[in-house]
This record gives sequence, structure tokens and C-alpha cells, in this order.
Amino acid sequence: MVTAGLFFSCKNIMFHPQEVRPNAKNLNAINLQKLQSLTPKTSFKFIMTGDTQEFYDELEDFVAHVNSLNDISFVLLNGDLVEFAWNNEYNWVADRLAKLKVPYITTIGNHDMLANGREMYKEMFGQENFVFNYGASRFICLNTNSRETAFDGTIPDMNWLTTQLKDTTPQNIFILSHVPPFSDDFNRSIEFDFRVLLRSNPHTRLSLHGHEHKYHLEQPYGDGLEYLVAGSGEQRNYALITVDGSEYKLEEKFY
Amino acid sequence: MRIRLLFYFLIAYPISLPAQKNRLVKALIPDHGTLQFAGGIGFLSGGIGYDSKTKRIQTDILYGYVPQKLGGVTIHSITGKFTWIAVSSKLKNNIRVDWLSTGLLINYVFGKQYFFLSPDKYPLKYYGLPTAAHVGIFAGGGLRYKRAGVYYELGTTDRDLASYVGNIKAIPFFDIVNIGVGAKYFF
Repeated sequence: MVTAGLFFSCKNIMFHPQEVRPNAKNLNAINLQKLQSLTPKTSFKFIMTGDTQEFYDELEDFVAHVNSLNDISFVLLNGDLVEFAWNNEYNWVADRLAKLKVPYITTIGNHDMLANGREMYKEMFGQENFVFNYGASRFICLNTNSRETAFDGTIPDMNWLTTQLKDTTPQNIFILSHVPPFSDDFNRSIEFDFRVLLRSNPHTRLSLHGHEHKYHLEQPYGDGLEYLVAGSGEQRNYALITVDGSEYKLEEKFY
Repeated sequence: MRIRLLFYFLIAYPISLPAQKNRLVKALIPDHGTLQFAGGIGFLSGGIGYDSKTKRIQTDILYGYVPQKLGGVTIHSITGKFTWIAVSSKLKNNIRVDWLSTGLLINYVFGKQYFFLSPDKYPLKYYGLPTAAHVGIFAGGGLRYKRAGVYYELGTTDRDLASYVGNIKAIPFFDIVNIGVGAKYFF
């Protein structure tokens, strides 16, 4: 019994897999506070990956790899943190991400919204649509998983995005969302409005996405705005983005 | 309507036959009542079950409840459970020790946010598994004294097991184990 006591703890009391009992809360806010406390560099590097889902072995390797790099300002995890959105999964992911030495920010993916996932995401990470600044760069993070609410017009929140993109004071604007607008899982009836809206701000530099488990960079609309889809657990890859002034450089990296 | 007809022909009508009355009513009366804490099917679950003659095989139908205060969200679910008492011995003073029991359960959770069959909004095979159901397996043991019994179970679920198998390095086995304890009263 004593030995058993060493192995078992409250963690082993599961009322139901669909329960919402996060072992950490407000992680995006906590990490943003960490990020804001650092002195921003004019030339900086950040990492964007996503779709870590049920790849915990890979996630641990990713965290160790990022910790071995010393010139990364922050990490962006672009949705699908979990597979079924069970309480266990969210907690396992948060435990592993907690070991990152640099601040990390997450966005919500379609898998993260399953069952009680939205409730869990809200408690563990925070709002689905939010912005943050790093130096002269602004990151607009939003939910674009339209299919999860049956394309009812609520996702993405176009009014919110319109308001955010009115501000032209940041030198660079980066868009961060899980489902790219050219996906069948995006509300195709507003695809045109969406891409025109992104282009409406002259400082929008790049739109960053996940979901497709395939690294590719393209200009799908021929309007000068590049869309990058990158990173997934099973591919053990991520995008390394270097920003210098209003220029950016992209590299696909493996760990 | 269909359910009402089914109820009539399968239960109400046969019971009404006087010749068969006693035998049928007896067969319908459950063999035991169960109350369980945790185990992945509810904060508290209660229900009834039927046993084999020797009680080596026990089944349960349990309604499970998680209050929002404890589970973050309110959860109502139903569980079908099958337990096999693999190793058991009788001690003196009407005490029986179930050294090893093992079994399987299927849980269904009620709510609009879950699906059993893939909803129309998804293309075919978009998500592999239904969010409204899970399968659990467990092993444990117990004690019985006269008509009362207590038991414990160490269990896991289909999806937790898949996470473990797919991530041998990262997920310790004890992270996928959940504990359940319960009591039964044999009628």
C-alpha cells in the first residue's frame, strides 16, 4: 500500500474523461506577462509550430530542442494542442510546455474545441481571439475553425478582426490562426472578405497557420500576402521566423 | 410510440400473464445495487446489476453524475459494466475475498457538445472516434461480507491507452491509471 501511495495521487482520480479540471490556468496571459517583461529586440527570432495533438514523445523532444537554442524570443503553438480535448490531454500538454524556457503563446485548433474543449481552452489558456505586441510587431491571434460551429458565421469573428486591423501603428502585423482561409474547414463564404481584410492593413506581413500537417508557403490570392502553413508533431518540424525591421525570413527546421 | 409498444410486448404483457408472473418478476428483480466513486464514469455512480449464480460474473448499469463544482462542467452519463471475479476465496465468518477482478465498461455521456454518430457538419471520417462514448478496462479486488461488498478498481480508457502506447517515452503508465472504489448490496 505504501508503494502504491508513491505512484498514485489525486491525478489518478478521474471523475469522467470529459471533466474540465485544468492543472494550470490563464497560461497565455502568464506567458504574455513574461514576454512583456523582456526587452524586445528590433531583430528577433520566433518559432511557430502546431498540431502537437497526441504526439507527446515529439512534444518533449521539441521542448528540449527549443531550450537548447539561445536566440529564440518566443514560441507560437498554432492550434490542435490535443486530439480529443479530454482533460487528461490538456493537462499532459500543459505539463510539457511548462518546461519551455521562453514564453509560449497558443491559439485554438479544431481538435481543441471538441466536447468541452472550448471551456477547457478558456480556463487553461484564455480568450480565443487576442492580440499581443513584441517590440514594433503585433500578433493578431484568432479562432478560424469555422467547421466546428457548422459555418454559422461566428468563426472567425470578422467584426473583431476588422477592428484590430484598423490600427496601422505597428510596424509589422502577423496573423496567427489554426485553419488557413483556403481550407475546406474555413467558412468559404467569407474567404474573399477575410483575405481582403488582411490586406487592408498595409503592415500585414504574413499569415501563419497549421492544420494541414504539411509545411508550405504560398501566395494563394496573388495579392502579395504570404501564407505559411507549418509544423506538426509527427513531422517533428517547425517554422523559424526571423524578423528584422519590416523584413522577415522563413526557414523550415526539424528536431 | 415504438418504445411504448416494445415495453408492452416485452415487459408489461408478459408480466400480466398470471401463470408466468412470479418467475418473470423474479427474473427482472436485480441481483444487486451498486454505488461507485470515480473510476472515469462519474463523481458518484449508482445503479443495479445482475449476477451469475456464483456471483463470479457481475454486470451493472450505472448512472454517473459529476457536479460542476467538482468537474468544471456538469456531467451526466450512463455506463454498462461487466466484471469477472477471477480469483476469489471464502474465509471464515461469511467473509469472502475477491483477490482479483477484471472487466470492461462502456460509457455514454449526455449533452449537445458530444456526438456518437458524426454530425452533418463533418465530412465522412473527419474525426475517428465519437466524443460521447468511451471504453474502459479495469482490474481490482474486493471484500464481501454476507450481503454487502466493497471493491476497488484500477482502470484506464481506450484513448488513454492509445496515448500511452503511442508515447512510451513521454507518458508514464501511472498517468493513465484511474482509481475507482465502490460498494454493492446483494438482494
